[in-house]
Amino acid sequence: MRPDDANEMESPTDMEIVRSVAAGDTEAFGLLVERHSARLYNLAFGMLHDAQCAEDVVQEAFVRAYEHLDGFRGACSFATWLYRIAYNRALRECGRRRFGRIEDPACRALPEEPDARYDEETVARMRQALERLKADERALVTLFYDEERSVAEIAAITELSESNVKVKLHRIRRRIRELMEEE
Amino acid sequence: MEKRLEEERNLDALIRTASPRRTLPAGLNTRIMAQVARSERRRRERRAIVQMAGYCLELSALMVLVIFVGMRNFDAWSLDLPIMPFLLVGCMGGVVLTAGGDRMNELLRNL
Repeated sequence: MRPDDANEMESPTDMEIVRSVAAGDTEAFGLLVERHSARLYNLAFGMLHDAQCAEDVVQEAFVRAYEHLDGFRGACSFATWLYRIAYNRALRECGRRRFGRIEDPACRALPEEPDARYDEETVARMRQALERLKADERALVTLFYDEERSVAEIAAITELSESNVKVKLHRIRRRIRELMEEE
Repeated sequence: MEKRLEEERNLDALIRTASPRRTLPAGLNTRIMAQVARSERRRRERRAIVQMAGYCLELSALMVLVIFVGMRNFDAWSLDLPIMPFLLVGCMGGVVLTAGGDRMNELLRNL
């Protein structure tokens, strides 16, 4: 089940919470934060590779979403709208500063399920290849592979056309293959 | 063709395996909510300032009106000031001033 489907089935739904926040219940916004912060952080960290920057981006995205909640008309899901804000913030942050990579123990990677098909060396090579991608490419990888978002949703988040997203994903795969062969 | 599809699937699975999911830093949600609360407070302050400015403008306009009525009805030669229009506008001004003061108090209490 995709994260968005799960949110729509949860009670209250995102849209119901948005309505009650708009009606003046600020505390209800906490539910939205709890639901989406981890995935948003994952996207921001994937793009920025800096724990502090990713935290800042997530905080800014939520505050901005709260301040402009009356502008959310429900044309897309709340998660897509929130992702779009965080994605744009992270992209701007990438352009604004050159960042060093901070491996903060507070945001270590979750233990992964071992996959018998791949040896550790192959996985490490893939990880290095992923790190060498550009920030917007890493965002597409996170959204498509980790978050399992559809091409249409990714197009809505990144403000690209669907065909453009498909082309970019195809190029990313090709680039990853090249990088894997280089190493 | 089959082989290529298999390769693609293999690559997709490898990308998924190699993409590490990060744990959320402790206390991030609390910090976000604190920022949201601060933003809400700032918004209320801004709204209160705008409303107060509105009331001040309204009161100033009323005072100008009282002075204007007073000046118009004041006969400088005989020093005769008709009391009724002046009193009427003065009373209206007093009522609005009191209501405005109450409203300002309410706005400040809501901050």
